[in-house]
Amino acid sequence: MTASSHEALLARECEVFTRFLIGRPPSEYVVRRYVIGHRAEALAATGDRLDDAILQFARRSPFATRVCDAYASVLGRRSRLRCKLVLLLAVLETAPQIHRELERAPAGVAPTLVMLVGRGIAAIGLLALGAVVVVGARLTLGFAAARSRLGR
Amino acid sequence: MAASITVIGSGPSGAHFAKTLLERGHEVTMLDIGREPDEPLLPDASLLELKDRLEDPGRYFIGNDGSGIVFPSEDGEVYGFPPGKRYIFDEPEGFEVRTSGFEPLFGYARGGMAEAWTAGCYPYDEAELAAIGLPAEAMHRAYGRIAERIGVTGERDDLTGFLPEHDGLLDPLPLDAHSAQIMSVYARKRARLRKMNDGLGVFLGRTRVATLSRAHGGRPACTRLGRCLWGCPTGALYTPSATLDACMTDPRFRYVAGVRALYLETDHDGKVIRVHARRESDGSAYSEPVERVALAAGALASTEIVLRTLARNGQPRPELRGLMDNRQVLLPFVNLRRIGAPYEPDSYQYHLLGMGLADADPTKYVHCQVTTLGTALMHPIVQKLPFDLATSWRIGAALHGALGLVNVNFCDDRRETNRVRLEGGQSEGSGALCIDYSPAAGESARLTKTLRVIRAALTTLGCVVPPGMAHVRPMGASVHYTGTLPISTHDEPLTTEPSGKLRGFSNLWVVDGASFGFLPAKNVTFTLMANAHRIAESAF
Repeated sequence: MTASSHEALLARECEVFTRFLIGRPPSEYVVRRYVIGHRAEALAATGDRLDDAILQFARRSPFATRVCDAYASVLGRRSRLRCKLVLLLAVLETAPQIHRELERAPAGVAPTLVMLVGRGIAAIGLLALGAVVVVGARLTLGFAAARSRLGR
Repeated sequence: MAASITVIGSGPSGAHFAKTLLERGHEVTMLDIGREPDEPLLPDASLLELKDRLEDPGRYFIGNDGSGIVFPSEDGEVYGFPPGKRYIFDEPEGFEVRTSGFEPLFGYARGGMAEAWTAGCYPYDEAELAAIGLPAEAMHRAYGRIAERIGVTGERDDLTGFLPEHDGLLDPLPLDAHSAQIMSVYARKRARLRKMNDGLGVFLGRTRVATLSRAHGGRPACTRLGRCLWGCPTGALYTPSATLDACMTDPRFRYVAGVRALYLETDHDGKVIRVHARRESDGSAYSEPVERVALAAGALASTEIVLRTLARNGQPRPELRGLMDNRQVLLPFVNLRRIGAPYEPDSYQYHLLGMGLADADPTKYVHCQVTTLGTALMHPIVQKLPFDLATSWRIGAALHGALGLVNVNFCDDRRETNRVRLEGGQSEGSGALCIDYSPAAGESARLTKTLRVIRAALTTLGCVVPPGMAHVRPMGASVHYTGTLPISTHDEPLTTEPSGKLRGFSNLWVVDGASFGFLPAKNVTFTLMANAHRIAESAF
């Protein structure tokens, strides 16, 4: 992959992931910072085939990202997807103006507790969905590997 | 009579040693690597303003190489390393250290590693000073003198039993709302907390910090910009480079920057006659003659200089034993009474409160720094929650005003197994530094028991530590290295006399933590400054 096509891929990825994290597309600044952030050592390593498959699926849409990240938050904390999302979160929380949007939170105890419970319940559902997707990916990769071995 | 003294290193020990010598009329040459930071950006801007006003805030906060980001592989750390402080620790090319059980940091900044400290100033009590080998009365005076010099804020409260009073204490910094709320609960629950910890008690109070509550010595009061971690832009938070600036105004002070001392050349009587060093810029050799020398490069770097000196004098495979450091455990907590409360972005970023766990043996006291996470970046914390990051962020933002961190510090003692040695290459200045460290027997049980007490104390204060969030930092992370050339009243080789003079040499003094025979739980930096001042007063 050429440097420019790699950057284009990262920019597309940034668009999807930012929509997942804050519900709207990234600014030019965020995209530029996201691309620069890939110089970090933690993102230099290449993942295994499952890691790649999860990342590819996550790039499809903000909802796909959410489902894959729900799985990664429990069973793939060091996955490439998770590292990229942490990078993006760090960029967003230091980006002009956006950091203020991110810090918005419900005021008062009752609204906060309602929000926490609601988010928690939704997250459990997403985790279950994420597990189904990843188990499916695992099986698909397993079948593909077996088929190529037989073909050999 | 005025003496001429060469000081190696400009950290807390070196800076205060030099300052006291100058005040006493001596001539001082300081050899130092002495890297300098960039000028602070927008020094009047608060943390949030900085995010909006900087052209490229990402470069400032997280760096082009992402060094300010805590990635999932860095389990448990709560703070990323600010890119603006990389100059302090970035190792020079060709630097080699081999370690086992220890993750050391070496400082290369003008002002030493304390350019990145959190300003905690804790005087040791008599039992702790005796265990180190330091005279209590002289140290008590020295604490007062250093406090007057740097400006230490604090208050007489329940921690005073563990933090002896001394002269020069300024009024404490104002509390943020979260810290004030914790203290108000403590006032109601004090009796209950005193029964905890096997009846020995858990105590809460104000920490002592070298951050100014009012203008002092040409530095302004803290204006709560919330930028402490990235480097106080106003100088309200003291760092040793401020003392170095004061030394620079004295015509008897000569500062040689850009050189890294390697070893000392001695004559046949054990007198140091020359310091050999390497220039940082091009690796070329540098040396200069000396009359008297003080090692103040920080315990590990001073130890390395002594080891290379011994190797040059024909000692094969030299090693020094007894290396110490504080074990630290980070305990993030949520204050349930603060759920739904807004966080304060314009607040002091480091600890305002301290927690102390008494012990029947006063040297085993456990010291904690309690920080409310007002202005910290949130990505290191929210990524630890077991939810997708969008959900975790929303939860983190909702709880921001309720989050805090307890940094638990444990004491350490000298053990023969913990050593620093040189391996390979016997030519001058060559050979790799090797560090072997293993924790004391029973450390794990002690940690478990102590953390249980702290969790219970936090619960009493209305705070909970979410499961799985405690982080035991690796040895070396607290950067309180001490113990390799211990003070001793016995005439044993390579020990330090109480006067600071290193045995085996006729004109060499150890003024940094290498001479400490014990490491209490409380941050050592204030005592390093005080001890360096004491030696400069008594020996010259």
